[in-house]
Amino acid sequence: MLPENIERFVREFSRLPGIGRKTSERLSFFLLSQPDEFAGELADSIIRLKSDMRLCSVCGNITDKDPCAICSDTSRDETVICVVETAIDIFYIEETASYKGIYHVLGGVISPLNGVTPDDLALKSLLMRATAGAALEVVVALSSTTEGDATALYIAQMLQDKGLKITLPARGIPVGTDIQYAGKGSLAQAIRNREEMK
Amino acid sequence: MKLDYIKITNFRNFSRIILPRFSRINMLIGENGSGKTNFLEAIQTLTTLSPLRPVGFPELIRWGSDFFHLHGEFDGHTVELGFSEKKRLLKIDGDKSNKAGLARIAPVVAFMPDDIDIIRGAPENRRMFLDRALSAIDPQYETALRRYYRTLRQRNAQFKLNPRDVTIWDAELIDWGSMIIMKRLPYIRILNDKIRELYRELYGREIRIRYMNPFRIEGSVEESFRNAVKTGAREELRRRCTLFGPHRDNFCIQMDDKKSDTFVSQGQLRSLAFALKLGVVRSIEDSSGGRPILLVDDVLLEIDEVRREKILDMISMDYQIFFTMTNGALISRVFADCSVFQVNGGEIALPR
Ligand SMILES: Nc1ncnc2c1ncn2[C@@H]1O[C@H](COP(=O)(O)OP(=O)(O)O)[C@@H](O)[C@H]1O
Ligand SMILES: [Mg+2]
Ligand SMILES: [Zn+2]
Repeated sequence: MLPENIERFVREFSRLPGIGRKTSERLSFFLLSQPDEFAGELADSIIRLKSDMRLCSVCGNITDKDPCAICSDTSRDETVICVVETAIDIFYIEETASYKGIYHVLGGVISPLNGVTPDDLALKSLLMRATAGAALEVVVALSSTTEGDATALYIAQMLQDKGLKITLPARGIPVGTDIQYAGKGSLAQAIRNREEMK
Repeated sequence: MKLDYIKITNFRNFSRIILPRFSRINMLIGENGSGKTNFLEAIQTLTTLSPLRPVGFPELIRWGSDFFHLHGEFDGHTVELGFSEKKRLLKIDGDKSNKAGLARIAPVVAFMPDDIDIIRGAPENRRMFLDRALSAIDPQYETALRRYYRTLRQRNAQFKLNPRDVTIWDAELIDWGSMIIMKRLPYIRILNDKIRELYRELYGREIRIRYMNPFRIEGSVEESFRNAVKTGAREELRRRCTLFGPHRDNFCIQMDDKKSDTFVSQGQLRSLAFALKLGVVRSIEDSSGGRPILLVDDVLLEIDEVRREKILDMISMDYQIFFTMTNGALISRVFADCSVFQVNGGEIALPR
């Protein structure tokens, strides 16, 4: 049996994605072996991560000021909106430096198995932004799963006959939640060579 | 393809078996519970990564030890599979590999006692048979199947959550479902050819397989599927589940215009099941060009001697075969290239 403090640490840390009990145990012993400041700074960074960050009221990006840096950047191309599942996808697409438009975070994909309906996603706000503003094209960059593809089709139907071009990142290259696993190069290519949805 | 050497460590009831050579025809003879099926299972697991019986890898480890290891030589290729602490490692010719790599080197088809459930059992048995057989030769089929069943689960959940939105899933359902049906139809033709040939030869009777799906196919599969979903929408809403698609499809075997399950003897059932598996063998040859190794577990016993001999004539020249039986006298004929192995309480004796 581990001492209570270590046990508590292990319990909390193993709730993180990709980290199991074994890894948490190793992390706890590593932290104990480090100078005191390290643990303090780590704890502080975790607390600030949550307390100083909020969601952009325009696009849903995670930001420390509202609207976010992308939404307030006047050099961005407002005629193209890229729809992503979560804010981290924005980060990966931005890293490729091959997209100059703006974003819209859906907050997930339709999945009745997980109780997620269209009403749970930022679809109404997408409809408003896509039809009220300067938008000419909507890029639907969701993961190429059953749920991602069905959600993409739902969006295409919602936006049809509104004078918008609906496109997908080039196929054969994983996007959406898989974005982090696609190499930077292939992701850049997928975003640049997007194809119109039939 | 031919298995030339195998080393088995801590697998099922074997602690260590080394068999340095095999013939074209190999007979494993031993009492019930001695390890004959376990030996076939070792070959099957090494070449397909799925055990013969529906168990997880941990159950394959010999009781009391904490890993198993299999090593086979197939026509000059080395295949090794190790499993310990929930991790498995497959190597082909020393390099880490996967299922797709295996199918090219050492295809295997197992003939098992419960094969008759494919014919006699519920429709799920027949669908599972088709899905397994097609997945083994066609990775696209495997993808379509995964996507289709995922869509089906979402669509059925949608009926419960909010039936109004169920059409969200129609495109995925129809796309993947049509692909599955379009790949099943030609496969059924291959099976049909085999089963007719064998049945005519053994019983002098005509027989055929009929694929059955809950909607008529007129024009393209996709179009017919879409129409069925459209016209059946009200019925689906009433029943709150997905009524059309390959998850409801079935096939039946018709003989002289009568259904097989009501009319055939145990021996005929056995022969039919055997013929279906020969269809699988043929489809592997057609798709890869390689001749699979056959694992034949106890299944010839219920077939009378004359017909058993005919079946042996049909397969013994072309394939390397591993037969198991409790009694060597059952196969009395002499094969040109044949070895007999005695299996006894987890030990296998080399042929004298
Ligand atoms: N993981 C295991 N470890 C040790 N023995 C096992 C294991 N799994 C099954 N057995 C034993 O293997 C025997 C069955 O072997 P099997 O090959 O099915 O027999 P048969 O020769 O009749 O085909 C049983 O005695 C069973 O107890
Ligand atoms: Mg057995
Ligand atoms: Zn923003």
